Amino acid sequence: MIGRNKFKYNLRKGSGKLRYEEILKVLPQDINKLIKDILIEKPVQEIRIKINKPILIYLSASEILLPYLVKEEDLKQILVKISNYSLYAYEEEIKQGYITIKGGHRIGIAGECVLVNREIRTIRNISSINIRICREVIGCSNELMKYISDNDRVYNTLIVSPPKCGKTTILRDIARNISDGMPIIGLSGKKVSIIDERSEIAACYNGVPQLNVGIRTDVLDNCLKKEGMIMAIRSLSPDILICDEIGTKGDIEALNMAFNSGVNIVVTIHGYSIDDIFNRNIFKDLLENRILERIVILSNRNRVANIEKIYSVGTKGDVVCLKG
Amino acid sequence: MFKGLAYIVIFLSCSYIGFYYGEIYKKRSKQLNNVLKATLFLNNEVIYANTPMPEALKYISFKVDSPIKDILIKVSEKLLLGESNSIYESFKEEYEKMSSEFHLYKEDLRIIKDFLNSLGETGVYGQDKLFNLTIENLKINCGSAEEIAKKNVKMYRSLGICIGAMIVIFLI
Repeated sequence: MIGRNKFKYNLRKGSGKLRYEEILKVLPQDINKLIKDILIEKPVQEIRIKINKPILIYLSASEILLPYLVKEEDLKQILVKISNYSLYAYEEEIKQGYITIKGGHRIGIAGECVLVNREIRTIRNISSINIRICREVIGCSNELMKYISDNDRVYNTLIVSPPKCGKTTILRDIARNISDGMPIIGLSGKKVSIIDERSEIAACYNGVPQLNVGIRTDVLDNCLKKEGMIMAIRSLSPDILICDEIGTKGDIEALNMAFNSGVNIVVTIHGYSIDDIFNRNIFKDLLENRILERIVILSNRNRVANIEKIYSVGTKGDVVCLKG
Repeated sequence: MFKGLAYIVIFLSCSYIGFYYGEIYKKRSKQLNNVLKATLFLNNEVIYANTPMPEALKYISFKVDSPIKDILIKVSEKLLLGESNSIYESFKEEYEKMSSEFHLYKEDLRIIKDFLNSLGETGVYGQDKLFNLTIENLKINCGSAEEIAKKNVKMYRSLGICIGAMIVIFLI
């Protein structure tokens, strides 16, 4: 039955559904042999590979230094494979500094930026890459869903979280739960539009989401948030609009537009507490217009994507702590 | 009776050898034209459609004849599986397996080698330049191959027939 969570997950270990084969496929054989077991057994978050430097593997709470000096040829091979032997097809992604590979893993690249008219045209002489491992934690938002929805309606929700606390992971699972529906809390499946500016939420590869974002979800991949939100409202008729890391005036304007069009929003921002939101001028509109109804604060205390606090924002602007 | 049969066999064998050598020149010209055709199709796929290389090679393989078609399919499969470290390497491996089917000259292979060495390894601008250069070079070689074929096909065919006839006359 759709919406009923049958998957067990373990956030404490930082584990989740990991497609490591796709990472191994792009790595040269020598590096492959060294990394394979670590990838399978440990909660790897990042693999950093730099020319003439040892490989660094970041786990959730520690790091491993591999005794292998990376050669220029190794990096060239990785680049050829992550770009599917076609660097020309990834020019836009390279300009933005990353390529998303199958499985949703994002590979950040660094090197010499070529500027034309003060704009980055490409990155050449790539000297280091950072493979950010994508883990899908299905069910991690189940606990939160009953707080952000009621009577088959999803509240306009803002998720506040410091970096690396799992806000994108939880946002992805929220999208899946809303899209598939959760009969257990009386939530029917709704049309969801995800504006995925950096291919982080749905991790699209060739336009196809690599991660489970639900059956009623449309993804605008690699799309600027403001333009994407307006485009989605006009053309995809979503019930819910989902967006990661809002923060510019344009984003807020688009969120206002979504609200005025009767579309509910679930968005995230960088921050540490509810005061962060109230102290930022940019969110004044959202608060004064009483758009936001729920504010969720995340932390990585004890585990990733730990729900620290949940606030309800009333129609008069009154804030009530529902949890925490 | 037996003698007559032997004369016919000698004449036909010499003529066949003449035709065979003539065909080699014809095949070179035909294969070079196919390479040029494939390069033009690939140019469109890369520059205008931004199709990734494995898919682009598979797509254009349907538009050219064997053995170019076969090598493109095999390389495309290899790239799709991520088995190779570079496009050049996978073409080289497949070419070595099928080299007897190809009748290209060293100077033809040099153009293709230079092309494959940089194929897919730069942005659209770089690829555009690479395609333009390769297409121009291939056109020059196609022209000269056609001329050589025209000249040599006739020559080898006539030579084969003449030598065959000459041997038979001598034996008679």
